[in-house]
Amino acid sequence: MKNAAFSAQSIQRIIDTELRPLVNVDGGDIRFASIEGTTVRIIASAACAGCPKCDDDFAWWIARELNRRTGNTFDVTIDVEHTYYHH
Amino acid sequence: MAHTHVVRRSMSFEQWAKVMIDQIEKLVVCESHPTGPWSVREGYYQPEGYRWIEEARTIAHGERWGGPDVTAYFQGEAVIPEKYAGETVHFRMLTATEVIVSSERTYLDGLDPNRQWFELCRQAVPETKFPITMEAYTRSRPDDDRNPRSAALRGCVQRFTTPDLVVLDPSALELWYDLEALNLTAFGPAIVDDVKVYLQAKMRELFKRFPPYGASPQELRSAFPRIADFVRREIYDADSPFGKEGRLACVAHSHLDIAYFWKAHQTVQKNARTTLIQLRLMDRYPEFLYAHSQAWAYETLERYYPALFQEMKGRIEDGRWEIVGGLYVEPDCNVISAESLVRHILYGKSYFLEKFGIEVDNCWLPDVFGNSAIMPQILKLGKIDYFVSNKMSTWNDTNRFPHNNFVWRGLDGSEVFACVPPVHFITWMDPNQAQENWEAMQDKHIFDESLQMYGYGDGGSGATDEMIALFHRQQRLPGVPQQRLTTGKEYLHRSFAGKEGLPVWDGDLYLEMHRGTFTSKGELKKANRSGEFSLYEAELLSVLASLTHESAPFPVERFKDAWKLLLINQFHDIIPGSHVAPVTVDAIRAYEEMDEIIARLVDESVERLTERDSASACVVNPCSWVRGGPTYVTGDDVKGMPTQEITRADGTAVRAIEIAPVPGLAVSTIRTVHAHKSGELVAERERLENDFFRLEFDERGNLKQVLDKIRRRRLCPEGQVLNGWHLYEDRPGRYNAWDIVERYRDKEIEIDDGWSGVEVVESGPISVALRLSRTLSASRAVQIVRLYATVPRIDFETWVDWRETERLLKVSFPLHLKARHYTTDLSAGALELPNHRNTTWEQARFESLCHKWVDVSEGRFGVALMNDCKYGCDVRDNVLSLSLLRSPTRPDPKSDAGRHHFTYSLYLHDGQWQRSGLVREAYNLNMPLTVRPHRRAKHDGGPSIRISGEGVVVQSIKGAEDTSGDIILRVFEAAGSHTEATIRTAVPFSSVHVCDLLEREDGGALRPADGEVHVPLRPFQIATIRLRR
Repeated sequence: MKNAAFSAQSIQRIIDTELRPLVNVDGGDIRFASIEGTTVRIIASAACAGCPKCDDDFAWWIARELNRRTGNTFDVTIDVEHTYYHH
Repeated sequence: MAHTHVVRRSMSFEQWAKVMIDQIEKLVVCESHPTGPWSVREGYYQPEGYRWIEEARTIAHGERWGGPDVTAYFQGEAVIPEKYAGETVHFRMLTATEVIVSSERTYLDGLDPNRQWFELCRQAVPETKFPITMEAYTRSRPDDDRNPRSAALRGCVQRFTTPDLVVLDPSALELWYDLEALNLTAFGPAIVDDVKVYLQAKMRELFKRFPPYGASPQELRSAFPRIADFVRREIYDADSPFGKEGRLACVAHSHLDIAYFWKAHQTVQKNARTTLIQLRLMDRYPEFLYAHSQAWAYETLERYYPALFQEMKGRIEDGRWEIVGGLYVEPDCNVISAESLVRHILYGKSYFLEKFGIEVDNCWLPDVFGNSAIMPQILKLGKIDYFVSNKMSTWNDTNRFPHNNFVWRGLDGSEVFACVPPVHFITWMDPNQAQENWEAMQDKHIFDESLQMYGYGDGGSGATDEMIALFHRQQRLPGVPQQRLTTGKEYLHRSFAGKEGLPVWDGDLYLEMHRGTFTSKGELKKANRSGEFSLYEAELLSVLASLTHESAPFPVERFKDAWKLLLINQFHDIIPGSHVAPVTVDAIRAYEEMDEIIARLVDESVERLTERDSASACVVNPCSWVRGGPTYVTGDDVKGMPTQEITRADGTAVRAIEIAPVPGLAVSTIRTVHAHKSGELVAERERLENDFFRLEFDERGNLKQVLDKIRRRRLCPEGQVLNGWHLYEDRPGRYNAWDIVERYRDKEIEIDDGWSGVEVVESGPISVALRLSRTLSASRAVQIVRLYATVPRIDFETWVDWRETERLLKVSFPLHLKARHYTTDLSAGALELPNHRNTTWEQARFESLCHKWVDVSEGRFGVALMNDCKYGCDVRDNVLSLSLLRSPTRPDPKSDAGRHHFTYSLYLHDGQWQRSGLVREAYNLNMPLTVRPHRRAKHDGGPSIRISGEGVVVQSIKGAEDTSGDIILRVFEAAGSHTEATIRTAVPFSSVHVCDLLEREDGGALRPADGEVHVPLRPFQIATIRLRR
């Protein structure tokens, strides 16, 4: 459990400081929600929420970037947070 | 009971027509041959070279690649197969990305969601190998949502589609274009019903010439001749009862946002791709003409894509590539200053003259969010006679803008020919768009032709083969307006030449939409305002330095570099705040770079104008009038002079000193400093007072009353509160950063009634102040309310740690006066607006633009609210409000989050604003005196240049761009009255001339009299004067 907690923090840091700025360029936004085993749950919002690729493809990219930076083999699932307006 | 609704379950004729036409489309590609193998290397595009994120790797069909903002560099090989011998071969790739395709350093063409193939070679020779490079930008945010085919393809992650070499069936392609045009017209929502009935009947006959559905390709191809024959005889050449009603002039262009849902460096590549595509269209279609704007775009092409630049230059010389819009970028035309607009014209037009020998006479701004009333004069002074902008006709939310072609008369009476086309600036040769345009065109009794811009844009892309094909078909279809391909210049000149009785629009072109852009991204607005004034002051100092004995030439190029950093950030999606978060990061970095250049230039000038003296200090007065008063210094800089410790609203510590009046446009040694008796100033928790005002606060720090002691007026109606902060729910929907909607007033967020912290922090002798602090929903604020011993204004220096989401913060001042009008500063001149909401035109202007001030005056008394970086205001009856902060969530989810430091200020005056000293005080607020410690002025005998005259304001003093050493002065009349500017210089000049904005003499010489030059100015006139050395 100690390793899982450490991984959660480092994953959140990677997402906040490295991946999120990249996503912001497209007008999108992501944030870390949780990790369970090797599955990382992400919440996607802003322009990501209205994108047809906000599914397996986007999850693939996030997982690839996380794995590149951590040397692990995480999977990623995405929950979409919609605004009251269509992006 | 009659049927009121029938749910159709059988296939409609429209649906069936699509099925039939799709059959033809499938036959366009008659052969394909794979290419490969392919490798990819992903990175981030920089004009100077990629920032790679991986090594090259092989990539197979269907394999994922990409990510947000990624450009991938594909390399592969295309080999002509035996079966393609002698054929015309196309390179094809279905893609949602933006692609530049090259082969051995030769640019071939571009691909994007709007175009999937291009011609690779003719008379193909088998075994010929083409090494192919593709640079593909993922373009997650498609700028062409309006093209329904591309919308579904978008996304930051792509799956590789292996390109192939295809041979097209020309007869299938031509037939498909015919049927597409026919289909769009026969079922188009904008087309006249009778025409549609006619064409649908023709289509039924046409489909009888098709073989049964499901026929083999050979059978279908064998029907092409009879199908094409029917189209020609029975549709194109038929004597139809429907003529061609209406005329459109079609100008191809590609709207290019320098930054928007992408950063500016990406636009360098978008521009290159767009240019490449249009050049190749010119190769294929001799009739194709294209218009491209923004000197910045041409500069980047020249610098980073010289081969494309040279090719484009050839097309300019051919007359087929048109330079439209003489400005440096397509800037926002609300919040930028008059001098900024001048510099857009100066640097834009100069570039085009230098590089191409072309003087552009039009201003091309399809997408800007309204246009200030100062523009017509500035355009005319820049020898720009024509103005084009679309949004007023297509985006106004309340009133229909009443003209499309008209004369636009500005603040001073200058006029330009203006064109506000009836439709959007992005169209794609759909007959419905043509019909909509003509139907919406107004004043047809004067103008017989409407302007239709076509070509995909926002992120570039431009025209397509399909558009050109549809254009030709539309000429032959009944019921669709007649169209011709032309240039913007030709259309504008032809439309207005020799016309009399033209409709006139007098004033600003206020856009009834996007009112939130006056306020969004407050940090950029502040940096822009500060930058504009800093550049003015730095140029002034450089000119003064160049006039001293140790003269140094005015550093034209360095100032140009600094100005361009400011001008780029004035692009109409940067300064308004309508962009993604990283664009703000880049913009701030550019402002910092600009500030560094300015600081170095100022230091150099001050070094030349002053000399070291540890016992002195000197002060810079950048204004043309004598000024004194308080200013701030840091550290131990002015030893021996009376000072007052100040803690600013943002917590920084400075010291205030009181400067004795010093001449304008000069650097002067501070010799004496006024000291004031403390007794004249009162600082108590519920009262601040000086010779001018008494401010009364309640126990919560609310400002209950301001008593004007000179005019014996109480400012606020009984029971109300001045400086009231109001937080509103601000949810305009998708156009979040752009819009404020009028219903925001319906939902005011409850916040604490007053300030939680109130303390006296300044007790004289220079100023007295209260420090107020509060929380505000999720945010914190500190405000210093300050009175000065010698300055008759009330400052509200404010710091906010802003953490809201979709909120609008306004400050309001209910006033005890009756004003039928209010006046807003436009930076060079002021606009008077009615203070009522009788008509929908006034109702729609619920948020007004103001620069440094907004004023309400009754007969003998007035109140102005000044500011140092805000642009949105509203006046409703007797309540004057300023928009302070917004917090939109799109495109930047955290827009404006962070710390803001700004000042707004009350100025009370006798009579109307024009003679009240308001104009000068607003400049004093925005351009404080600056002190240089341990220096004294080398020439304390007075300024080298004196400029005076009632209502005269200096807008710029600079060295001439041609490095001749001549001085360029630019002045304007600020009060709306005829006046005369008097110019006197300590340095002799050989001659003095009025000139245009490109600093070319424009009119005769001005003859000095008694060492003075007198320049008559009409109300709000801007004049540029050249002093020849």
